[in-house]
Amino acid sequence: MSRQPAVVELAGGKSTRQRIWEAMRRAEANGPQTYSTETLSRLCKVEMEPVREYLKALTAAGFVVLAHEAREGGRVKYYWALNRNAGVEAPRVRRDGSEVTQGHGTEAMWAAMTALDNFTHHFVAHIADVKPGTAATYCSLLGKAGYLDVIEPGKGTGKGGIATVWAVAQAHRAKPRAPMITRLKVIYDPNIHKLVRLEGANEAADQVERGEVVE
Amino acid sequence: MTQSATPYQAQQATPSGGQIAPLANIGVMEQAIYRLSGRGPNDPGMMVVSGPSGYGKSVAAAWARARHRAYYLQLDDFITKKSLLVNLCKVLGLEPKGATWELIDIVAAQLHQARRPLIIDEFDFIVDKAMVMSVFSLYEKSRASIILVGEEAMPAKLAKWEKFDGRVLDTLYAEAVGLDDARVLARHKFPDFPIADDLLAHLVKIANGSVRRVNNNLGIIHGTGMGEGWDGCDLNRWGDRQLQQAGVKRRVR
Repeated sequence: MSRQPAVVELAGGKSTRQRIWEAMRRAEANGPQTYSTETLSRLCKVEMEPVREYLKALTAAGFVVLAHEAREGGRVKYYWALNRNAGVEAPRVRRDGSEVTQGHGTEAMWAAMTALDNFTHHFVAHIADVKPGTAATYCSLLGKAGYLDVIEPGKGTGKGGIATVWAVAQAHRAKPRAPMITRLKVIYDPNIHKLVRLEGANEAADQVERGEVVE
Repeated sequence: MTQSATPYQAQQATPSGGQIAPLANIGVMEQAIYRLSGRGPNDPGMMVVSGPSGYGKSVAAAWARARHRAYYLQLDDFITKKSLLVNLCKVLGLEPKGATWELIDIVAAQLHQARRPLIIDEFDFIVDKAMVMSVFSLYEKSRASIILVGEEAMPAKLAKWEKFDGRVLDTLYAEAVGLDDARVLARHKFPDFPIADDLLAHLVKIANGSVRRVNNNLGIIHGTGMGEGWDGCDLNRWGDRQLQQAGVKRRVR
């Protein structure tokens, strides 16, 4: 048997869109292909609706083009082809083809942090072009999750306060994808596809006690 | 592969929105990226950025990562051909599975398709291990924009590999730390602890070009200032207290 071409996949956790994109790239390894929404849905084992939605966005952005249409049993079926293979990461595009910008700040912060020896949140904010408050929250939450080490603890806030000096913990330095803080203040590490920090039950109990539970 | 017919073009680097680069060497890195992204289809696609240790090259690399989504690989002394490719896979977010000859193909394909610049820091290790031609092959296969960052002697050492040298678009030299850099650093590190220009100028003078040394001395001054209860510092107030000095081993420039 001849050797199968190496299938290149994104390391770590995959979104639905990532699975759709990878299915297309995988099929492409055997030469150019065209797909109907149905065949693609079967290839990536994702429901039709998200596939249709993503194809629409990819087409608007020019990554995918309409190859041909066929009349099958009184219905018109559309066949799509990959036009620009943009590498392993699924393009993050909206329905109108514009780029999804959400998460860019976090990505930039993580990229800066992992290249720097040590840093304050001010410096990261400057390099990554985000608000200092955003960088401060990101640093402190990652610190709690053990992703950052405290090199020099800060003290105080505002005028006269000294910002904490952080460094990315050695175990996490080589991770290419930025840990994300979700809306529930849970940290998701896409490199290992795991939630790495949740507020504990004790904190939850305390919050209830203090009347801080949001309905 | 259904690539578009247009020749490979690096993604247009977004100029930093009119904002002044905070440090001189970020400007050097910015220039490297800009030159590579504007190169013609037949121009070479590698840039060399060189400068002595402590000149802030890594901070510039951090900037390029954050602002241009550059891939960034820092080398060490344990590098081999295989580990270079495995590490590149990790940097590119790929599963490093397969033999060396398979990895080179997937790495090159990803670099070509993603159209993001690659920065290789501490490139001296590759030069010293005579692995330069591996990077040459990687470039030839991917035609990606690659920025090689290394110490000051690296450009001279690279000239030995004539074939490689022909693929280098230009060599840029990191700039020694200046008073402007010192001001930016002081303002960013200690916004509420003003340090006067005369003291900053002194720091620049004794740093012998190294941003790192200026940085360390700022920390020392701030620490002392906090201990003594100062609200700022100038050369007079500092007097002849101890500061980190440039070593004597450095060559005179």
